[in-house]
Amino acid sequence: MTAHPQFGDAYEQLALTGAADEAGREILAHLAEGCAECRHQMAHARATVAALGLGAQPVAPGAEVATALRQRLRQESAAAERPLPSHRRRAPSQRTWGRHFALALAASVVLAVIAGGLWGRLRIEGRYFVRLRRARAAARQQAQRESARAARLRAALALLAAPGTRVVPAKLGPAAPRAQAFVNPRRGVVLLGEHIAALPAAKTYEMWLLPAKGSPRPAGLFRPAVNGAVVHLYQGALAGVNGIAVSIEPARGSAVPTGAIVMAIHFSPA
Amino acid sequence: MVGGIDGAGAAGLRREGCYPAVQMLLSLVLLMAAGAEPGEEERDLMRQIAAGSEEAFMALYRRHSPVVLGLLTRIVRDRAAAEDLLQEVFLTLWRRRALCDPAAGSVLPWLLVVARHRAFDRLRSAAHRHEKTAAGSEEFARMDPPDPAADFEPGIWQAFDLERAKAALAALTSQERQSLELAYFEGLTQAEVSARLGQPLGTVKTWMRNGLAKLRHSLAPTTP
Repeated sequence: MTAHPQFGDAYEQLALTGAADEAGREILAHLAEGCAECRHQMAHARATVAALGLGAQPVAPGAEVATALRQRLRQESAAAERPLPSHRRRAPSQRTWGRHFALALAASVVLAVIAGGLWGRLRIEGRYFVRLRRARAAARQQAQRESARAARLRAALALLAAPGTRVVPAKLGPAAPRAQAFVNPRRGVVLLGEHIAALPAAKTYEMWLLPAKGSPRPAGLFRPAVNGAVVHLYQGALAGVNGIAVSIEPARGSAVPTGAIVMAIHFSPA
Repeated sequence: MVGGIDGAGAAGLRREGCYPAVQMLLSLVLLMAAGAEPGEEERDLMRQIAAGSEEAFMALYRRHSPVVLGLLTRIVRDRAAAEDLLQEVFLTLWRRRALCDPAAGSVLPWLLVVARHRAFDRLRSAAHRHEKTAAGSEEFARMDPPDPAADFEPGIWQAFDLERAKAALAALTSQERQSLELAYFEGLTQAEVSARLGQPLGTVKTWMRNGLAKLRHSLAPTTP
């Protein structure tokens, strides 16, 4: 107490009106530093000022206040004794039910949005997989076509390089198209063409073997590449054949020539 | 209602100009009727409360709640809000019952300190509804010492004797009491009290200083 004689009645003034002056602020600073003397003096000052509270007219609280207070005491005691958080075991009030309903509604909306998103995603991915499957089938067919074409080219090259193969040019005039046949009596014939005209989708070129006696025999269908080039191979012995011809036929081909003959190459029989 | 006189009746007496003498007499009668006398009985209650007795706690509530509710009602001027605060104040005591010292004096001053603090907190939160009062309470909040509920300083208990407190209040002059009550119940600063009463600031400071000195000397612990 003697450590702060300069504060005088500042403790009571502080308890009454707050730190309105320098002394009050200094006391607060001492309290903040844990000054035991200021703490003791402040406690007495608060008790002194509290006497003014007796100047208010007492008001008897209603019985319902005591009932509510007793209920809150029991709630606090029960909560203190419960090992789990009270909300887990407490019977839900109407407000709690409302909160639960709101949470359930919000969860439902979220689930619906997620389900909708997943369904949309599945539809997108389903369409993607369909396209992917079709593309893979198309690629496989293309690969098969390319493989067959490569095989034909290898066979054509083999025929071109084979002993006994001779070249017979087509007589088509000085302008395009131009063509020549590589004839091997035992292995077949390769037709190489340039500037061959493109055909509508309903039409195709068909090569014929022209025997010395009898009707022309089908020797395969072909369509020129975009640059008008043609490499068409017929594999088989050419016994009795003395020439080839090319006609324009329906897309599926014909058993006998039905369309215009666009070229014919004659060579001596094997 | 206690002792056959309720708040409306007291308000009627105030309107008829009987304040402050009759009001003080009325307050003292109500205090006695409420059984607010400290002593061995309250110490026994505090011992039981410290041990966790709800019945003892409710007995203490019945003893002191009229005084505490009177204070709260006068500050917040709203009966329902005051009753809410009354529960909060007593719940604070219940939560800190383990810190109670049964050998100390009455718990009433601590209840009054906490109640006043909570009441001004409530006014601050409802400042838009009580502009004029809230202005003073904002000033109070800016300067208020730490929450008294945070500690159970024995001095609050030991320094208070109800009979001596009543006598100390009765010994104040009307100017001393009026200026102190404006600061206590409305949270006004000395300058605001001066403006309210239309008196020089120095005069008001003297009134308040003298009044506080009387209370301090009347309530000072007696040396055995």
